[in-house]
Amino acid sequence: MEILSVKDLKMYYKTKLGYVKAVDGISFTLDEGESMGIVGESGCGKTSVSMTILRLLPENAEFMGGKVLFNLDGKTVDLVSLPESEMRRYRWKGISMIFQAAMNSLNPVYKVGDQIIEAMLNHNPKLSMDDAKKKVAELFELVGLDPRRMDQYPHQYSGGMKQRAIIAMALSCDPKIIIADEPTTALDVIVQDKILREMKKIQEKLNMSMIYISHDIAVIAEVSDKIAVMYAGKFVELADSITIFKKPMHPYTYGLMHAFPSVTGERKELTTIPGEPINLLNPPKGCRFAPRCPKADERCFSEDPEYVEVEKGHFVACHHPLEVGEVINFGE
Amino acid sequence: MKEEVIREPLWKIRLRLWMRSFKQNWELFREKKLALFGLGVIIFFAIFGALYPMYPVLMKNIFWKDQEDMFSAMKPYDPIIGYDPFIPGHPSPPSPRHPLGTDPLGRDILSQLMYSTPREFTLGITAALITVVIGTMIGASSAYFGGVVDTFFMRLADIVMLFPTLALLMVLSAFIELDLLKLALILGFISGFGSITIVLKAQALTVKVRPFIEAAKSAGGSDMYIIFKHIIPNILPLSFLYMMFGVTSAIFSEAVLSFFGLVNVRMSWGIMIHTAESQGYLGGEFIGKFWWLWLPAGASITLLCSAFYFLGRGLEEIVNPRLRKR
Amino acid sequence: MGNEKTILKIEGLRKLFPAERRLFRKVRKFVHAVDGVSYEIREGESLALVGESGCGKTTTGKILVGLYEPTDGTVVMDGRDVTPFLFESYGKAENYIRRVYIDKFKNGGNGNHIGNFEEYKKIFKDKFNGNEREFVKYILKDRKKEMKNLRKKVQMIFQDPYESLNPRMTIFDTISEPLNIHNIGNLKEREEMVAELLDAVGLTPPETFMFRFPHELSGGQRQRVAIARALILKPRFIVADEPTSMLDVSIRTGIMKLMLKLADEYNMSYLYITHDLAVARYMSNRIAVMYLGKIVEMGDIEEVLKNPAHPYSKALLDAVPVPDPEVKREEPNISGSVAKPINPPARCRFYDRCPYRMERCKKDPHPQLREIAPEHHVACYLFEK
Ligand SMILES: Nc1ncnc2c1ncn2[C@@H]1O[C@H](COP(=O)(O)OP(=O)(O)OP(=O)(O)O)[C@@H](O)[C@H]1O
Ligand SMILES: Nc1ncnc2c1ncn2[C@@H]1O[C@H](COP(=O)(O)OP(=O)(O)OP(=O)(O)O)[C@@H](O)[C@H]1O
Ligand code: SF4
Ligand SMILES: [Mg+2]
Ligand SMILES: [Mg+2]
Repeated sequence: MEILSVKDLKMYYKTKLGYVKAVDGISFTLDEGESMGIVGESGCGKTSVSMTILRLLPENAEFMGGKVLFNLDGKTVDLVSLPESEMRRYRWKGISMIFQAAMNSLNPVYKVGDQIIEAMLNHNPKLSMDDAKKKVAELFELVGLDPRRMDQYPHQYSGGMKQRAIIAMALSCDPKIIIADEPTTALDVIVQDKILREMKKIQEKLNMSMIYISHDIAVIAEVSDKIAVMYAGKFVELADSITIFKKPMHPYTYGLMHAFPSVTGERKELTTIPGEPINLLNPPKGCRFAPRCPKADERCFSEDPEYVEVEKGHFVACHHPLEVGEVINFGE
Repeated sequence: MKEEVIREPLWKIRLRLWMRSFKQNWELFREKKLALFGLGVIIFFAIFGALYPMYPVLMKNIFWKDQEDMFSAMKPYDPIIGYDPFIPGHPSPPSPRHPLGTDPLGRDILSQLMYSTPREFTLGITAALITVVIGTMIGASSAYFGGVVDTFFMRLADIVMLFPTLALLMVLSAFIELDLLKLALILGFISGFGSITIVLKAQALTVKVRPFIEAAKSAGGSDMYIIFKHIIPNILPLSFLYMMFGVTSAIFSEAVLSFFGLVNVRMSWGIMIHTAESQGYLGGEFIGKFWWLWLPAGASITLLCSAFYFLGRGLEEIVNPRLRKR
Repeated sequence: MGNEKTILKIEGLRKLFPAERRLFRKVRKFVHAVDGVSYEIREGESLALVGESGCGKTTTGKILVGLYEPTDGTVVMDGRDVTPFLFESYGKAENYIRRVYIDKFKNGGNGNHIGNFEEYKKIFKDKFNGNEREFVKYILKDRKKEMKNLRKKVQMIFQDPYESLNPRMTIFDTISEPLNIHNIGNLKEREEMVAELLDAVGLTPPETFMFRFPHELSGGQRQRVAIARALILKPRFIVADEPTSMLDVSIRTGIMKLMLKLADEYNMSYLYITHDLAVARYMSNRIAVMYLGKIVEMGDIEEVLKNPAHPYSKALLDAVPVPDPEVKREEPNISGSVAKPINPPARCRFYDRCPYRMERCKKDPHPQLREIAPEHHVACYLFEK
């Protein structure tokens, strides 16, 4: 069952020099219990997408159109058109978020448990203190933290433990969807592995939907049922994870897949995508990847490729999608 | 070292780079209205002071045209020894002959004001320069070396800050003759060890821990090389800013000392007020009646001091990105 | 490979940082950041140093470029002991010479790992007739110059390209800085050298980059500048401290390839510090896995990655996410998380987290590195009879 459907979402940041087109026509759907990954390089707009969905935008952000249809208990609402007071009900309880670098945002002078309780009471003032405490203890158990550590301060936690506490906080209002923005970046691999496993377990247990955001395609591959590849404010490709890996159709996806070395298997040559990610400030017309794309022709530079479903569940925005098995050479 | 140059000479490129960064900063600066005002006032005073030699010539050609031979020996517009016998009583209020009136000794106030201006600038800027040179070097070294060096200079700064500089100068003036240069030296020297070292050290500490310092060290740069080539250039904007504040405080200190007549300077804004005061024109009802004796000098001190201060504050926002509103 | 010339050899390197601040009293708590590390790097070879955050990778590298003084241990470069020159103060260098040479000359002792041990012994006996002070003076007579020479041979590339370039210096000034410090060439020659290097690191045409400031370059371009700066003295050996971890994925591979190419062209060796095993595999021939200041496993990289022996290496390898949704990885067999090595107990450093720990591991000191297969060393009691 479809729980979230985003349609042609657009959000620009207004700056002195013009519009930063951070979210420029994003569409996707998310089923109940499904997990989606968004991969893309730094600054391509991943965080902006999630912030637009939750409507947690800075002052200079301008919403430019689109729909965010959220399906709760058989009722569909468009989050975009809700008044702020209504919207607040859907945040945390409907969709909650693990913010990028959130583990550094725990307030150092309050006990970790109390911070979670406060977040809970904010959204559910009727909750009694005892119930809240009990709930936090359960949550701690769920994310693999010792409940006795509730009364400790953030500095007594390691990085991985802080991240677990943040996950517990995101779970505290029983959301239907969790958006996790780079939940394990800056953590060591072993800790990262534990956190990802924990999150996956919780997701399956509670039948939640997840949106994982990361720049690390390997992390995304492990946790997501389907993957969206984002480049310069747009999704360039979206498909289930196996398809994305086995037959990528967008040259950028292909480039990304082959840019990561691996610890197993053959020691293969890596591709380098030439040039730099483009500036989202007043991007040129045409396909935004064109300046770096070996397959680009005149059409790519003048005409924006449409984001189309080429086969069931596989969306691509490219004038010259790759054939199965096609090898492209990005040159030196 | 013998330097040969290919293509465009290096200094030209450097100049161009410098011009470009100047332009960028100017764009930011232009938005700060108060700082712009400060700059305007400073420029005004600079021109005002520079025009001093023109003033007697101008007045002579307007008001003394007919009487040239008769009084050619007299200098009524000399700020120190001039006395105008054609005015019946001194101090005289502003008149076409003396746009700002004369002082109790019969001297032209406007000429005094103009004459003093370059001296105020010299004093302020010399003192501030000394302060900044000392403060920057100490701040950078304290941050870089840490340990004993740091502790010593920081404690010294504490002491200097607690110390009443003005009181010290007053005592000092009893023993040595404080002329403008000595005053600038002493003021600059003392405040060079004061709070500026703490501020600049804090800044230098943030520079010291950045990896490009380690890169320079691993390339073999000596301590002095790193301090002068890497740390100081990165705190220089802040030093420059503190120089502005330094000018303010030096001019102000001089005014106070002159007011008490403790400085051996021929003429300055402070002395102008001192003259009025010592002749008894600042007491009671006189203060309003003889306003031209103290207002021009007082206003000039206030204006120039605040101009440098506002300029400093404006620069601070450029130098210190944390204060920048974006 | 195998019997190429050894450029750099490190024996029992240790670095302790005080973990507390005490006025007028002796510090008693130390972070054992690097605690008895030994390895060697051969000509043209790249050794990857991997391990979790805080295990002492960067510290090891910084000692080699003279940014930290070693607490103990010996650094041998081209067969010659250069440790005495790594110390800032004469006194510390003297202490080192007394400890490592003079005491052993007098009381007997082995110094064979140091190439010039016998030579020094002879000088000590014959030239100075056992006069300790004169001997020390003789060795340290050019220590400043020696250090400068050493710095020419060993250079470092730092992790953060945004912070490792001085924002107030142009690219030309930054890259030519080492030339300036070492007084090499005149301005024209410097310009030519910089242009050539900019070309080599892919910043072409050089004229358009030379007089820019760092903030006018992207992260990848800055890291290229940092590489050029490290190369300008034509070093034999480069410590690369996670040079790509702050860069975007699509740019990262470009830098890695560049470094491989340059290593080949300039016949350089790397100590390549990273926490990413996949990157280590791409960049290096050999690997050393570090855990809390100790090397726990070392050897040929393919061998170690295929047959990891140490329980920690195994867990580390198991935890690496695989960019293939069809692969289901095993759960790494490890508990707890890394701690700071403040006065660690003498037993195996990995004891607290080790799933295979035995009675012996608790009582005995940290195990020595032992060869379990050709080109494969492990420090673990599981491999000792
Ligand atoms: N408040 C803002 N005003 C103007 N531009 C902004 C603002 N916030 C973000 N941007 C720009 O919008 C673009 C997208 O930013 P966003 O944070 O969504 O990227 P991201 O994909 O999450 O990157 P990262 O991986 O670094 O977190 C970037 O180019 C960024 O510079
Ligand atoms: N200058 C210093 N003073 C005190 N302690 C230090 C210093 N530098 C490093 N340490 C400590 O030494 C240990 C090893 O640090 P090091 O930076 O070498 O780790 P690392 O392996 O490079 O970690 P990372 O992967 O996070 O860069 C850490 O516990 C660190 O806190
Ligand atoms: S020595 Fe013992 S405790 Fe250490 S890693 Fe080996 S088995 Fe584990
Ligand atoms: Mg982000
Ligand atoms: Mg490090």
